[in-house]
Amino acid sequence: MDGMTRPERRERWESLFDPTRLALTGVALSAALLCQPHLGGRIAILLAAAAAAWLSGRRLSPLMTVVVIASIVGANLLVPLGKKLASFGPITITEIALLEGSCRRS
Amino acid sequence: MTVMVIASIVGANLLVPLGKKLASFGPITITEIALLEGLEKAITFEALMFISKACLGPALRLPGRFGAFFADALRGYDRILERKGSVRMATFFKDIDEILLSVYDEHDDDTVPSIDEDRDGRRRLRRSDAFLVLAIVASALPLVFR
Repeated sequence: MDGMTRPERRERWESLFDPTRLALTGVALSAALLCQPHLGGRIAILLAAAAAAWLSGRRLSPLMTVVVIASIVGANLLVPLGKKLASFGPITITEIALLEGSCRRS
Repeated sequence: MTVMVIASIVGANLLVPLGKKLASFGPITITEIALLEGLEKAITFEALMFISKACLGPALRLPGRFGAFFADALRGYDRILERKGSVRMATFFKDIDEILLSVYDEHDDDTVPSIDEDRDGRRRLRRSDAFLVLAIVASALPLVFR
């Protein structure tokens, strides 16, 4: 597999899998990804999916991937986390804390 | 009792500081939760992109009129992406035009790939199907053993 060119990898991938079953697998994997309870599970799926995309002979850009990840993380750091609902002395109650507390119960 | 338990959990959660302060740059404070949530979103997005690249191919056939339209769009998109390396800034519009025309011209010349079907019209199982099932089971394991 190492010495294969990208078009060769692609041809091999397309002859190896049934396209409909492959697409259904993609749907199932996407659902499993979105339901992953831990970050570690998502990272494992990301690495496996990146390897599969490389083996499938699609164009991949590691630089673009890093830029997109950095941009999303950066944007998330700039957005305030949760609306301040009330304040009692040193204790500030935020929307996210309230919702997380409710979610833990349910 | 239920109300008391709910009130206790929510109250305890409100007392715990939400996210450790990791660093501060002027007015911007970086907290642990914001960082982890950002990482989670970014990793999920990229993983979905890779899954899409690996699993959606030009040979995909879907039933119905919408399925045919979707498969056509996928094939066209795939061909455009394959030729995007030929676009030069000096001849940008000419190159784009040529790519679109070539995709349009090739559209009718598509040969339907052979589908592994038995005499009853059912698709045969392939050895690679076991790998697909294995991938689904492996990805679902963390959901079962939380």
